Amino acid sequence: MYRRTAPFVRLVCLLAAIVLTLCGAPRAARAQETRVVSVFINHPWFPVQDFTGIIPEEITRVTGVTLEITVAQDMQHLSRLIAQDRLPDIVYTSTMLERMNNPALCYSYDELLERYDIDWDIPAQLRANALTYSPDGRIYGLLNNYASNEDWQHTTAVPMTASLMIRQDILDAMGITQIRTVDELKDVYLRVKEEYPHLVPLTFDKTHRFNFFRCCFGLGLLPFQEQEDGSWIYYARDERYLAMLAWLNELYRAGCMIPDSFAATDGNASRLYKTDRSFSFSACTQNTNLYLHNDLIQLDESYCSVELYPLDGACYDTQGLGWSASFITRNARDPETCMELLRWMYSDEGQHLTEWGREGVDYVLDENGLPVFSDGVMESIASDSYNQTYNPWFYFGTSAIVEAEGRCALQENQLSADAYDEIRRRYRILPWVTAALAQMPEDCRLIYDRISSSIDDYEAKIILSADEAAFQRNLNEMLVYLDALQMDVLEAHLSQSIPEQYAQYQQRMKEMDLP
Amino acid sequence: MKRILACIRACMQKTTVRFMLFYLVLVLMPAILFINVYAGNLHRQALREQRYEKQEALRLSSQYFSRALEEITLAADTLQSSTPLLTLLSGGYPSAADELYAYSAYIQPLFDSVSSIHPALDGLYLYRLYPSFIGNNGLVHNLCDYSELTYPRAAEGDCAFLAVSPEQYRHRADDNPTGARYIRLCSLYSSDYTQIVAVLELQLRLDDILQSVFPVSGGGQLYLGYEGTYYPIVQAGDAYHLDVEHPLASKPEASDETLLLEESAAELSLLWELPLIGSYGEVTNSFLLMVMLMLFSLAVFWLYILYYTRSISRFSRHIHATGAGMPKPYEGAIRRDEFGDVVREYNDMTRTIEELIASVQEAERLKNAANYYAMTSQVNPHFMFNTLENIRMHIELEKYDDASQMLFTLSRFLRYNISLREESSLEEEFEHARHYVLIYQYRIHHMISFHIRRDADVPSIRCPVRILQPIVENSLQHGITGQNHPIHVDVHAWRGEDGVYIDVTDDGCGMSDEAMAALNARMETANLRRQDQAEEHVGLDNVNARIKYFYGAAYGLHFTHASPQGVVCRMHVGLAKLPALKGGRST
Repeated sequence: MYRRTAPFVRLVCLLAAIVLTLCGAPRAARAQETRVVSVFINHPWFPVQDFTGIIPEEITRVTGVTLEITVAQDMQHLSRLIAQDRLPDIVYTSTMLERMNNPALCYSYDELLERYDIDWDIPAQLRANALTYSPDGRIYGLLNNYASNEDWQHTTAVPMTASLMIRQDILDAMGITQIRTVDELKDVYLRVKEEYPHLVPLTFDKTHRFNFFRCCFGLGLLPFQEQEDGSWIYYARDERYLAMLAWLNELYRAGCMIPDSFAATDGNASRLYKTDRSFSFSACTQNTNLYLHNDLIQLDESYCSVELYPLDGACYDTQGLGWSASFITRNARDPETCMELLRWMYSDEGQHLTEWGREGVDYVLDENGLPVFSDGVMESIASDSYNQTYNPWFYFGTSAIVEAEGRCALQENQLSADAYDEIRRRYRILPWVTAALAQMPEDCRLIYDRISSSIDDYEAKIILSADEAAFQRNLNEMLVYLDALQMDVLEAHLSQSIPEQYAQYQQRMKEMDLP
Repeated sequence: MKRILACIRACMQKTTVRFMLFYLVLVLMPAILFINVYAGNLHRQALREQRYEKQEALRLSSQYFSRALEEITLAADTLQSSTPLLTLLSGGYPSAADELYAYSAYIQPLFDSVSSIHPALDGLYLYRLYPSFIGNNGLVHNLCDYSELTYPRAAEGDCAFLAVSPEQYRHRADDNPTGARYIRLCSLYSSDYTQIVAVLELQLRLDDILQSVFPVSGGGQLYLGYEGTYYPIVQAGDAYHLDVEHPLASKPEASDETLLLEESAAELSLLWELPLIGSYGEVTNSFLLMVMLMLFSLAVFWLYILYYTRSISRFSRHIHATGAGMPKPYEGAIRRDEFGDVVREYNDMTRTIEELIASVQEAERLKNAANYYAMTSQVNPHFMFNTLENIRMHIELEKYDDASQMLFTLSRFLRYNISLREESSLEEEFEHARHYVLIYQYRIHHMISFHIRRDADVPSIRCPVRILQPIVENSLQHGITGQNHPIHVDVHAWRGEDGVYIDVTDDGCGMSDEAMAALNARMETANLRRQDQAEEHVGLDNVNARIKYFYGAAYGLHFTHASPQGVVCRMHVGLAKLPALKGGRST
C-alpha cells in the first residue's frame, strides 16, 4: 500500500511546492523591487494628492520606486515638520530653501554620491545654482525648472512669466489692431467699459495680479530695481511702480476693475473671463490662455482669447535660479534609493517622462525635438481629465525648457506665437539678484519678509482708493510703512551685495566655462 | 381488526421489522426531534443576534449621520461670532479697501476654517440683506444677495431639508455637482443681535457622509427616508450614493423574508431592509430536506437490513422445514460473519448428531452381535456335550465332589453368560474368566495354570460385559495349539495414570511378528462400524470395538510378545464410562 501511494504523495507535495513557489516568488520579488519613498511637497496648491496615474505608474515601473505623498496643508507645515523632527525622505519645496540647506536636516548630494558610488555628473549650471543657497559649499538641494537666457533663445516655447489674456474678438469688433502703450491699453479698457457694459475690463488672479503691468511699466518681475546711479531699491518705491498704481487706480475709479478680483482665489479668479463677463485677465503664460480660450469657445465659437503682445518698453527681467529643490533629509530610510530616484528624474529620460509621458505612446518627437502629443493626451486635456489620468505633477528634475516645450506643444493653434517670440526675446534672468536675496543677513531678511507679506494689501488698498485724495493718502501710508520698516537698510545692503553677487556669478560661470 | 392486529403482531416478530422500528424509534425520530428543536433554537438565536447586531450598526451609522448634520451648527455659530463678517454683512466698512482687507485677513480664512469643520460640508453661502463692496460678481462665491435665496423653505426661517438633485440646490454655474445634499438655512444676526444681516446656507454632500457611514456589512438594501419618501442607497464601485431616480413613495413592508430596521437622524431616517438569516421558508425547506435525507437513509438502511437478514430468514425457514424430524445441514450460502459461524456450527452439530446416532446404532448392533456370539458360543452343543460328558464320567468314576464342583462352575458360567446386562465389573469379569478356565480344564484334561493378580482398587472398575473371557479363550485356544506342556495364563490387572491395564499373558506358541503387527494394526483401526469382519479374531474385534465404544477411541487391545514365549494381550480400559452412553437403552 505504502509503495503504491508514496510516489503519488511525493508528486502532490512537489506540485504543491512548485505552485506555492510560483505564487509566492513574484510577490516577494515585487516586494523587493518596489521601494517606497516618502515625499513632502511644500506647495499647498498642489493639484494632486497621491502618486497615481499613468505617469507615476511608469515612474514606478522604470525606477522601482513609488512615492508616498504628503502635500503641505499650509506654508507653515514644513516648519512644523522640522520642529517635530518628522521630515520624510524627500522634501520638495520652493520656499525655505535657506532653511533646508542645512547639514543637520539634509544629506548633501556630494556625500551621497560618494557614499553610494552613484554615477551622476550633476550639470555645472545646476550645481552653481544650488551652491547659491549652500552654507558650506556642498549641494543639499538641486533646483529644478531652470533655464538660462541662452537656453530660451534656442526654443520656440515661452517661459513662465506674466501675461495678459485679452479678447481678440472684441478688439477686432472695436477695430483695434494693436496696442503698443499703456495709454492705448487704458483707452481700450475705457472703451470696453462703455461699449460692453456687461464686461469687467480687467480681472486678474491672485498669484500674478499686476505682474503684466509691472512688465509694461518697465519694472520687470524683480523685487528690487536697479537705479540709474547703480543702487538697488525695493520695487514699491520705484517711480515706475507708483505710476502703475496710479494707472490702475484710475482704471478702478473708472469702473474697469472690481474689488472682487482682489478677494477671489486663484481657482475662482478666471471665472468672469471664461464666462464672457470680463474683457481681460492678468495671469501668466504657458497654457493659461489655452484653457480660457477653450472655455470661451464653448460659449460662442466666435470668441477668441489671445495673450497680448508685449507693449513697447516692456521689461521681463526676473530672478531665477530655478523653482523648487529636492532635499534628501536625514530621516531618509533609504538615501541611496532617494538619490537614485533624483538622479533619474534629472536625466533626460526622467524629465521627458515626468513632463510629457511615455515616448511613443503619449507623445512622439517632431523634427525639432519637440513633443507631439497623442490624441489620448489631447482628449484628456480637452475633457479636463489630464491631471487625473496622466498626473504629470512629479517633475522634480524637469528643466524650464522641457516644461515650457511640453506645455506649448499642447496648443494646437499658436494664438499668441508672436507674443511668445517677443516675450522670449525680452525675457532676462538675473540669477545674482536671487543669490543676493538668498544670502541676506537675518535683519535684512526680517525686513524683506515683513514687507513681502503686507505689500499686496497696501497695493490693493491704494488701487481701490475711491478718489485722488484717498489714493495719495494710502500711497503715503505705504511709503511711510516702508520707511518705518527700515527699507533703506535693506536697499543699502542689496545695493552692495547684488553687484558683488553679479561679479561672483560671472566668475563662477567663467570657472565652469559657462556662457 | 383482529386479523390486522395479528398481522401486525406477526410482522413485529420479524427481525427486519424490529430493526426498522429500532431505527425509527431510537435513531430517526429522536434525530428529527433533536435537529428540529436545536435548529429552531439556533435560528431564533441567530435572528435575535442579527436584529441586535444590525440595529446597533444602524444606530451607530445614524449617530454618525446625525452628528454630521449637527456639526454644521458649529459652522453657523462660528460665523455668528465673527465680528469682521458681521460688519461686512452689515455694510459697516467705509471703503472697498477696508472691506477687502477684512475679507482677506479674517473672513476668507474663516470660510476656509468653517469649510473644514466637516469633510461633507461643501456649500457655504451667505445671503446678504445689505450691500457690500465685494461679493457682487460671483468671484467671491460665498457671498450672495438675499434676492438669490430662492428656496421655497426659506420663508420658514431656520430650517433644514433634503435637496436630491443639483437643480434643487445652489451651486456655481461652472461646477458640476452631483448627488443629493442636506441643506440647512439659518439666520445670522448683527453683532448686537438687533437685526438679521444674512441668511446662512450650509450644504452637506450626503454621498460623502454615506462613504463614511457605509459600507455596513450584512447586505440588504439601505434607504434614506425623508418626509415619507425612501431613497435607495446604492453602491457603484467602491462608492455609495443616493439613488434619487428610483425613490419609494412609501416605507417598504417587512415580510417573512426580510428584517426592517429604522433609525432617525435629524429630519432624515435610515432604513435598512435586510434578508433574514434563513427565512422561515428556507428553514422549512431545510427541515423537509433533512427529513427526506433521513428517510432516504432509512430506505438504504432497510435495504441493507433486508440483505443482511435474508440469509437468516432462509436459515430460519430451513429449520422450520425440518420440523420434528432429523435436523439436516443448511446447504445455502454461508456468510463470513458471526452468523456464518452459527450456521457452520449448526451444520457440524447436525453431522455430529448423525454420527452419534449412527454410532449408537452400531453399538447396539455390536452388542447384539456379542450377545449372539456369546450365546452361540456358550450354547455350542459340543461345548455343552463335552462338559456334560465330563461330568457324567466323574459321576461314573464316583468323583462326586468333582462332578458337583464342575456343575457348580458350569452353572455360574452359564448364568453370567446368558445375562443381558450391558455393564459389569472387572471383578465379575475375572470370576467369569476363572469359571471358563475351570470348565475348559475339565473338558480338555489339559494342565492349565491360571493366575489372576490385581491391584486393590481395580475390581470395582465398571466395564462392558464379557470382555475378558474372549481374551482368555483366545489365549487358551491359540496358546495350547501344538503344545504338550502345561500352559500358563496369567492375568495381571493394574492401575495406571490413564486407566486400568489388564495383561493376559500366555506362554503358548506365540505368533510371528508380522501376524502380531497385523493384529495390532487391526486393533488400532478397528471401529464400531467395521463390516468386513473375518471369521478369525471376530471375538477380539468385538471386544476391542466395545471397549472403544465404552471408554473411547484411546482404549482397546494391544498385543506384544511374551518372554520367553507366548503372547501378551494388554487390555486398556478407562476408569469411567463415556458420558454419551450413560443411560443408554438396553435391548
